[in-house]
Amino acid sequence: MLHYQGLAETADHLACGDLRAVVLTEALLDRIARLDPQLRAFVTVTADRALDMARRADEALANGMRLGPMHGVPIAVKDLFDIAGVANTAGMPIRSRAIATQTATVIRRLEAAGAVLLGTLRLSEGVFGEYLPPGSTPRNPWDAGLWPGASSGGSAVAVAAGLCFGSIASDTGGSIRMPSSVTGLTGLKPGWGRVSRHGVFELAASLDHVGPIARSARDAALLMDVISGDDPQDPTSLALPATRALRDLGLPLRGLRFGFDPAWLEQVDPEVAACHAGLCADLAAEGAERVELRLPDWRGLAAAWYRICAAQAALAHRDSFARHRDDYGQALAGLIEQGARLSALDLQAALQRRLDFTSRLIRALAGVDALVLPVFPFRAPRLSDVAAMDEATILDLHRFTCPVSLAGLPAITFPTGFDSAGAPVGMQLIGLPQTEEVLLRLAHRYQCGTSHHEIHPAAWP
Amino acid sequence: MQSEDLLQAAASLGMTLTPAEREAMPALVGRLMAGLSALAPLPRPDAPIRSWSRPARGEDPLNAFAALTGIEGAATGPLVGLRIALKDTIALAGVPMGNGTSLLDGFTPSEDAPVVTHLLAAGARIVGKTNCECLCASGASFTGVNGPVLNPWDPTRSAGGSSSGSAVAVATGQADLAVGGDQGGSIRVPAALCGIVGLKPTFGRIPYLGVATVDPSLDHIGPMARTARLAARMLSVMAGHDPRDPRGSPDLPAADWEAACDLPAAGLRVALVREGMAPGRATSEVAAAVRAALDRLAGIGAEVRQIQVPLHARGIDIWMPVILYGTLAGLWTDGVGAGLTRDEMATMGQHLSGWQARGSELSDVLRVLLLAAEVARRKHGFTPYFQGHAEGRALRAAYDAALEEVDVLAMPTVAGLAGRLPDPEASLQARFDAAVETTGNTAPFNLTGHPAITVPCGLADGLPVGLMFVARHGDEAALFRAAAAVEAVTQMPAPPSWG
Repeated sequence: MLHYQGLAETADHLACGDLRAVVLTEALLDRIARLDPQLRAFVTVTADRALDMARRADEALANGMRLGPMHGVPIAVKDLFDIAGVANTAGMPIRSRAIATQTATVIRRLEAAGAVLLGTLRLSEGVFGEYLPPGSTPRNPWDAGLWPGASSGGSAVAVAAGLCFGSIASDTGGSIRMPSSVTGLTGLKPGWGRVSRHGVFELAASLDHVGPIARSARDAALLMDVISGDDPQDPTSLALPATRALRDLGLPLRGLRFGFDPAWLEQVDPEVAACHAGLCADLAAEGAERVELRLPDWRGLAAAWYRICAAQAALAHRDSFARHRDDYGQALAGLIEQGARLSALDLQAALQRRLDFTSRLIRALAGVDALVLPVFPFRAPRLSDVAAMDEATILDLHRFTCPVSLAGLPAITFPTGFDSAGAPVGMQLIGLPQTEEVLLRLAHRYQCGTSHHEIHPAAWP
Repeated sequence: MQSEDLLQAAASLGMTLTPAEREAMPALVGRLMAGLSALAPLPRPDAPIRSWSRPARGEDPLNAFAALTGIEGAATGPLVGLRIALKDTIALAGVPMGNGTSLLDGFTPSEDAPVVTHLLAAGARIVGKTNCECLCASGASFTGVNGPVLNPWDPTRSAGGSSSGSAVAVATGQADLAVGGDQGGSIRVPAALCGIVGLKPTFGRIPYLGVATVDPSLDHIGPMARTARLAARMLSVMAGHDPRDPRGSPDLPAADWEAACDLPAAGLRVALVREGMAPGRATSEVAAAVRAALDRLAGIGAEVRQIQVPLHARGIDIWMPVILYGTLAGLWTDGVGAGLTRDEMATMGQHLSGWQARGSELSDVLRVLLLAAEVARRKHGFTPYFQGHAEGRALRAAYDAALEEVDVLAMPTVAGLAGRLPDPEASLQARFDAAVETTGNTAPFNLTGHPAITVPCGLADGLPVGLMFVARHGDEAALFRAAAAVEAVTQMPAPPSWG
């Protein structure tokens, strides 16, 4: 089935003319029209823009020219990137007509590489937790009762259901990794600053990361190579060239070391722990060396993350919240109010916990190429579970994702199996700064020997 | 074959087919093509297994290396104990080769370039392949696909190009020696901007085999080192006629170049070329540093005078059509060069084949050069290439005449100090200028074939200034004598440590 084909594979077919970009784009637009009313992945479908781009790609190829590594490949992006002439809603009802006048660097890079932009994808309000209006939560194609993850729910659902070949989303406390895990996808949260945040709606400046969601590490690598690298328009972006992840993807794993801390795996659902153990065994079998680590204590980190996120969100929404407070959803309003009320000392304590944890974590990881962690301490939550979660459970939901965001380290998540309820189970590999290429290599190697990532939700052929 | 493809091919050749031709062509062309499909496939011998890695984070902060290796050479020899880096245009078997472009992703040479074999046999240890500019087409270090190469004296500035990584590796001590390639200044410019010694030898002195070509009449490889003596020793190992290289000549006898470093400066006759110091060829700081160095040389007995070589002012313009057409023709032959048919380069050519469809992956600077070459070719045919060579013979005669009275000519290697690396968003004009402005004094000698060496002669505003000497064909000895003399009267600090 064409729509479930790999992104990299599709790019090859388009580049050599086996496949016409317009034909492919029309097929996907048709699929979106038929299925998205039930999946609710898209906010805006930019059909005209997509077909224009597809036509450009076909014409270029007829003249013997490939536009770039994503020539004619249809993708979509989380609805928080500025695209000139298109609404950037950031999941907020008050922004439904906020038409951007500039285009984010990441979008420009994708289109310069030849990508066909199908549209913008649904996210929870203000990139935080709650999908608005009620009833608009994207539908997990594996099971309508399963949570699709947040905040990049639409970005995961669209890729998992074959509505696009990959998406670009963002992750502040788990927003790429959680949706990827519950939809059986490969999502990369790069290290902080590795991808430009220019033209990206902000939740929390020092915690926001932009990254790809795809159906394989190979696809994620191709996307990462296109979007990453120094951007003078975002001075916080690292002064490094784009990654070259695709080029070295197939290198063998000999000499690589991975580790975990058994103490971090206490109080984890046995099925999740079993997937973790399975991944470690598979990596070892591929030639990577296993090491036991002693990591700093994880308790309280999600709470520290929450405080920092709240304060930075309050800052980002300072003007808007003052003027439109009544139109904000409860979850985001709660976050902003808590952030605004936070005392300087309490915030400073959170920042110092962050600094301390990050330094200790980096020291602890000095001898390994990747730390192996689950995405969630329990199985993929159902929508009803999430609705009923108390604060402590919500924090625990973020036990393995928030600390990595705090430390700004690169992390990749990919499917490692299914739980007894048939829901996908994802695992994370976390690396030291600027090791995105190594993490993609590890995930790719794992995917060469397994097929979890190749299974697609049967209900959405 | 598809008649549409045939018509398109004919149109690109400017042919309108007569009805009779249109009738007969498919069968005739088809018959000739049938012979092609009966050819044996290109041999793909297994590359030897050699351990290599990409630099890990923090390991190579100035981005000098594309790949790191640890290939040991012979147990004895003149280069034992010395670490060598190779520009990523030189075939090192078993290690991927990139030539600064993503078009070569997946290409791993199966055979060492002959110069590599000689270096290993002399006891050198090969520590890696260095980043270079995209298909060697830039004199500043920002066009390679692996990202900018940073100057060890100021990492916001260009290290020069196109052998950017080789110069940085030697300047920082990540390597003791490096091999660079030079078609317009690509050894001498980065050597000057990084404060080390770099030699473009006499044309044909070192076999140019197993190395990515730009234009066979301009291709040179040569040694880069921190001292003239080490460069001389390296040259002794690299030089020597190889009958497989049409660029080489059996009439270039070797000399004891290391001994030449010990020749006294007293009596060395040096002529500063006035046109090499003109505005556009030397900024005031560079000119001052060069004059001061020549004064110091005079102070230890060298005979320094000034000379005029009017044609030098036109040198880069005479060279330009040769590099433009050569670069384009090189790509038309899939980077191998017509008449140069070694197997491992042919495999490289297979990767470059189809480059026209991937123009978006070439650096913006290279796209300007290719477009200019193609427009020129359509308008003037290949005539400018031959005009360049013809006037190049007059240029050679002019330098030879100047060299009749002296041992070496002198001038700044690069007009200015290392410039700031341009922003990716900077105008195409700004980026193009940054890439080509460094080669005014170096390029003429690629066309005329004279050996030319750059030696650091001091700092200006904390950045190195290179002094270039040029000698008669075959007289590298004079260059080493002059370079060693400059070293004797110049105190060069080490570059700041950046990682």
